[in-house]
Amino acid sequence: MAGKDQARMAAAAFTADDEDYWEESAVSSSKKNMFDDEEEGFTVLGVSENKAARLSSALRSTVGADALFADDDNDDITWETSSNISNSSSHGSITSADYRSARYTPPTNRSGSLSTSSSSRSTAATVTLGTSQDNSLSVQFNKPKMTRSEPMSLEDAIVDVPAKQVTATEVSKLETEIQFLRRQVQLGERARWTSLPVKETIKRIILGQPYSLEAYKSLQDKLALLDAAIKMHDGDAITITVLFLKKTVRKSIFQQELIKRPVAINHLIHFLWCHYDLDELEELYKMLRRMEDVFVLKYKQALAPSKAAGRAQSIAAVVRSFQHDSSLAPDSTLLLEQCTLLQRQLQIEEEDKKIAAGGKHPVFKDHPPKAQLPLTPLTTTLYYCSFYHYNESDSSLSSPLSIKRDFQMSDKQYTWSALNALAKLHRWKEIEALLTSKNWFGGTKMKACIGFEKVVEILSKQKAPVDILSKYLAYIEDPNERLALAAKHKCHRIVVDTLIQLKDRAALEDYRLKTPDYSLERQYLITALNNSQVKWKN
Amino acid sequence: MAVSAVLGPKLPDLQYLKRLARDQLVHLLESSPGRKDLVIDPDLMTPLDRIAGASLLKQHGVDKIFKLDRTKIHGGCDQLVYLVRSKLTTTKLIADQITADIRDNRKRKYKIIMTPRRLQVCDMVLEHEGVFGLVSIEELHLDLIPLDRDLLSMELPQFFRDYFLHGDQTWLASIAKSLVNIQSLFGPIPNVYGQGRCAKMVADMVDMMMSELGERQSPVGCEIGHLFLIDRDVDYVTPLCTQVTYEGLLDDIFGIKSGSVEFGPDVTGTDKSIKIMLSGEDEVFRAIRDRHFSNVFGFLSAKAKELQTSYDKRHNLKSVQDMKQFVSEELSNLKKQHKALTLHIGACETITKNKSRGDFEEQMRTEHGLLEGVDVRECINFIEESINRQHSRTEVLRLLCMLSSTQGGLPSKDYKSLKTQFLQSYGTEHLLTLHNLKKLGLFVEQQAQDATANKLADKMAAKLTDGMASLQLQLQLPKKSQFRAVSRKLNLIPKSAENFELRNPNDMAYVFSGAYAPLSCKLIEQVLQREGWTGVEDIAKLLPGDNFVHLKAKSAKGKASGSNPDSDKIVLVYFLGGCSYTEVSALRFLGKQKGYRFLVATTALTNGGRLIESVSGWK
Repeated sequence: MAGKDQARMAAAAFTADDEDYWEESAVSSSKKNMFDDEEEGFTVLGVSENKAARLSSALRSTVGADALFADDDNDDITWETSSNISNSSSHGSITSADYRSARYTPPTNRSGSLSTSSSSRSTAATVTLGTSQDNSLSVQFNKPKMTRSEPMSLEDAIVDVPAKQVTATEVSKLETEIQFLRRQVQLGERARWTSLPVKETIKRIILGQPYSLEAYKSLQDKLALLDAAIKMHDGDAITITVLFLKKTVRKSIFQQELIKRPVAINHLIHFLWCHYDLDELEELYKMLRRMEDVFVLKYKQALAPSKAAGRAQSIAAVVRSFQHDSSLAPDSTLLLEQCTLLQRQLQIEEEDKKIAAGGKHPVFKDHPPKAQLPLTPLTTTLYYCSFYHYNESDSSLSSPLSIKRDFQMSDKQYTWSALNALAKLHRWKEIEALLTSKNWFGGTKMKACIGFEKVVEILSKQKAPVDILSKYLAYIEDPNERLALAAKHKCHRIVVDTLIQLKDRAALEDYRLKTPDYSLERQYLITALNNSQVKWKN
Repeated sequence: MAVSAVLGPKLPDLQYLKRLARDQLVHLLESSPGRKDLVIDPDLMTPLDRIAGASLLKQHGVDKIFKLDRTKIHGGCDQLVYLVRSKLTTTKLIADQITADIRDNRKRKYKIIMTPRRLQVCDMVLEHEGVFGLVSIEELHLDLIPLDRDLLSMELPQFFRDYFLHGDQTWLASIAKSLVNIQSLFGPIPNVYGQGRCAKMVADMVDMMMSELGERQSPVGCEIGHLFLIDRDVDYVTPLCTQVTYEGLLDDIFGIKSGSVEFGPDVTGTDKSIKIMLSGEDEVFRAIRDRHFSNVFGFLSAKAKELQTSYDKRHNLKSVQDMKQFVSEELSNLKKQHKALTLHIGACETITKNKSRGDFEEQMRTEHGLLEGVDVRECINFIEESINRQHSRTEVLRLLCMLSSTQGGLPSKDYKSLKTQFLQSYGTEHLLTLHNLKKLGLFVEQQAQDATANKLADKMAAKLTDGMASLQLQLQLPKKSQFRAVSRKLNLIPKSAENFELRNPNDMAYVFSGAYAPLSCKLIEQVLQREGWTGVEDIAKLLPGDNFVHLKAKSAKGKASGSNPDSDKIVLVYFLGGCSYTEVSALRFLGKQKGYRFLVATTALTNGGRLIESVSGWK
C-alpha cells in the first residue's frame, strides 16, 4: 500500500509542474488515506488522543486545585463516551473491544505511578497500529456506498445513536474512569502543596506535564532543581530553572552560583540572544570575563546602521572602548581598518559623483558604476579603483596603488584586481606594464606573481586577441601546460614552438590540420616540420 | 507494505511514522470545529509536504494557508491556527501578531500547534507578552519524517547551530522522543553504541523516557538490532568534502529539500521546472543514486537502449490480446522510466557543465591533498587564490574549514594571513562568521601548547566524574579532532589511488573517487564488527566526546518470540547534527558488503555548503 502510494506520488510529480506537484502529490496521498484519515482520525486514534488531551487538561485543572473542575471533567467524559458510542455503533460489525483496549490501557498501565499524559498517548498509538488496518478494511467492506467526501453520513449517526443502549460494559468503563480521575485529583493536590522531589519536577517539564516551581523556596532546593535539570540534559528545563533562580534570588548569589555551572550559562546566554536582551547579555559576558564575546556582541550591534557613515561611527566607538585590551588587539586593528575603508569609500564616492556628472571621464562615460561603492569589501574597492582610477598618482585617495599601500595588500591581491579591471577595459598596454618588472641592471623582465597561466585565463575570458594571448602563453614555463592552453585558445604559433621544444614531430604532423588552410601559421608549421636541425624524438 | 525488492534483511516499514504524524495533525485540526485559517512556519513548509498536502489540510477545515512572517495575517475565519517549530523567536512573532489583532479590535480564536514539542520557555514568552490566556497550545509530535525506505530526518537543520555552536540542549528531548517512538513501533533496540557528548545525553534521556513508560512487551517484537548514535563533531571532514556520488551531486548542485529536488529548464529541456521526489521507489534512481558520478552516464545510456528495445516490442505484437497486455501493463511502466531517464540524463548534463568550469579539477586536487596531508602548501595557495579572486564565499569557507580540520588547526602565520585576506575579500563583517567557526573548532589557530593542553583536558575529564569541569575545559580549548592520526588508524586513505575501481567498488572510499573513506562510516563499521569499542579504544581516544555501549545479553535476543530473525542485521544510525547523502551511500555500500541493512536517521540532511551557511554570522 505504502509502496504504491509512494510510486503514485512520484508519478504525479513527474507530470506536474511546481504547483500541480503540491496539489497532486497531496491528492494522491490523501486519496489513499481517505479512510484512515476520516475513520482512524475520528474514532481510534481520535478518541484515544482526545482522551489523552482530556486527561492532561483534567490534570491541569486539578493542579489549579479547583474541586469543581473535577465534576466538569466527569461531564466531559460522559459526552466523550457518548460520542464514542455513536461512532462505534456506526461501524456496525466492529465490536467496541478494539477501542476498549485502547481506552483502558492508560489506567492499568499507570499502576499507581504518577500519571503521564504522554505515556497514555503513545500507548494508544501503538495499540492503534495493530487495529488500524482492520478497521479501515472492514469499514470499506461494510460501507461500500460511502462517498469520499462523506465517509459517515449524518443520517447514519442520528439513526444509530438512540438505537444503541448504554450497556453494562459502558457503565463500568465510566466508573473506572471516574475512579481513575479521582486518583488523579488526589495526586494533583498533593503535588500542589508539597514540593515534589526535584527530579520529578524536571521529569514533568520534559514530558510536558504541569508543574510548579513555587514550592522551591530554599536556595538549596533551587540549586538542586537546576542541577537536576542539568543532570537530565533537557535544555528547556535548564532554561526554565535558571531563569527561575535568576528571578528569585539576589543577583550576587545568582552570579556566584551560575558561574559554577557552564551548561546553565550556555542556556542563559542562548535565551538572552533569542530574547534580544542584549544589555543583560553584555553584563553577563563581562561578569564571566569573556571579553572576546563582549567584543563580538558590541561589533554585531555596531553593524546595525545600514548607512556607511553611521556604521563607521559605531564601529569606531567599539574600537575605542576596547583599545586597552591587548588580547583583542588584532581584531581591533581589523575593525579600525574597516572604519578607515568606509570613510575612504565615502570620500571617493563623493569625488566620483562629480567626475561622472562632468561627463568627460571616458570610463565613467562608457561604464557608469552599477552599484554603490560604500560598504563593499576592500578587494572590491581595489577593483573599483583599478577600473576607474588606474593611472592616478599614488597620492590620490582613489589610486589603486595607494589603496594597496595603505591597507598593506599583497602583490597578488593587487595583481588580480588590477588585471581583472584592465582586461575588462581591454587596456592591453597597461597590462603589459603591470606585468613588467625592472631588474637590478635597469633591464626589464616579464613577471606575474599569480602565474602566466592565470593571466591567460583572465585575458581569454575578456576576449583578448590571439597575439596578446600568445605573448603571455610564451611565458608559461611548463611546456605541456603551455601546449594545452595554446591549443585551447588556438594560438597556433605557440603550439608549434612548444612541439618543437618537445621534439614531438608526430604531434606536429597531427596539428597541421588544425591550422587554417593557406595561413601563415600553416606555413610556419610546415617550415618547422622541414627543419632538419631539430632532433625529433619520433 | 513497501515491497522490498532488494535482497537481504527486510527493513521495518517507516511509513507508519508518516501516518501517525498525519493522523495527529488531522486530529489537531478537527479538534476545534469550524473553518480556520492556518499559518505555517516557513521552516515547516517542505517537511510538512511529506506528510500532508494542502488538499488534506483543506479537507479538515483549513480555509486559507499563510506563511508566517512579519506581515499581518488577514484571512476571513474567526479561528487562526499557527503550526510552528517551537522557538522563542517564532513565539514572540505570534505574540506580536495577536497583540496587533487586539489593537485592531479584531477578535478570533488562536491555537498554536508546536512541533516537535511544546516548550515551557515558549509558554513563558506568551505569558510575558500577555497573550497566554488567549491561545490554546498543542503539540504535534512530528519528529522523524521518512524521506525514503531507509532514510529518516527530523528536518531540523538549526539543531546543528543551536547545539554545537551555542550549547543549547533544547532539541535533545525531541531527538530522544523520536527514538522512543521508533522503539514503540519497531520494538526495543537491544544494542546501543554511541560516540560524542550529545549521543550520550540522548541515550540517557531515552532511558529515562522508556523507564517512565514502563516495561511493556511491544506487540511487534524487535525489528531493529542495533542503534548507533554519533555526534557530527566526531567527523566534520566528511560533510565538508565535495560530493561526487550522484545523489550527493544532486544535493550540492540543485539542493535536495526534504527528499525532493527541483530541476530547472536547463535539465528538463522545456521552459518549465519540474519538482520530483527522489526515492528508492524510482527504479532508475535507485540504480544510480549511490554510484560514483563517472559511473552514472554509462548506465543511463545503456538503460535508454534497453528501453528502446522494450518499446520496439510493440512492432512484434501478434494478437490483440498481446497488444492489450502491452498497453495496460508495460507501457505505463516504460513511460515512467522514460521520463525518469530523461530527467536524470538532463541532470547529468547540468552537473557535467557545472563541474567542467576552470578550477574544478584544481579544487578536487586541493581537497585530496588536504585529506592525504600532501602538498599542503599548494593547497593553501589555491585557497588564497580563491579568496583573492572572490570566489563563492561558502566554497572558500568550506575549504578553509577543511584545511583547518584536517591539519589540526593552522600555524599562526597562515591563520592570520588567510583570515585577513578573507575579510578583505568578503567584508570585515564576516569576522562574526569566523568567530563562530572558531567556537566550533572548524577554523582555528594552532597553539604551541595545544598538544599538551589536550592531553591535560583528557586527564582532567577522566578524573572529574561530574562532567562539568571537563565541559568547561572543552569549551575553552579548541576541540581538536586529530584527523591525521585517526585517518591512519582507520585506513581512510586507500593505498593506491591509481587504478581505483570506481565501477565495481570493493572499497567504501569509492564515494570520494577512491581518495578517502568517510570517517564516520568507517568508525561505525569497526564498532559494529567488534560489537563495542574494545580494540578501537586508541581511535576513540582521539575523537571528541566519550563513547559508550549498552549490549543486551545474547540470550535475551532470542527470547522475544515475535522478533524478526533479521533484526540483528538491521542497524539504525542516528547522526546528531546532520549527515550527508554521501554518508548514506557509504552506509548502503557497507550494508551490501557486510550483509547489514542500514536505516539512517538524522536531525537534517546536510552538505558542506549548508553546514557552513548554518553557522554564518553575517548575511
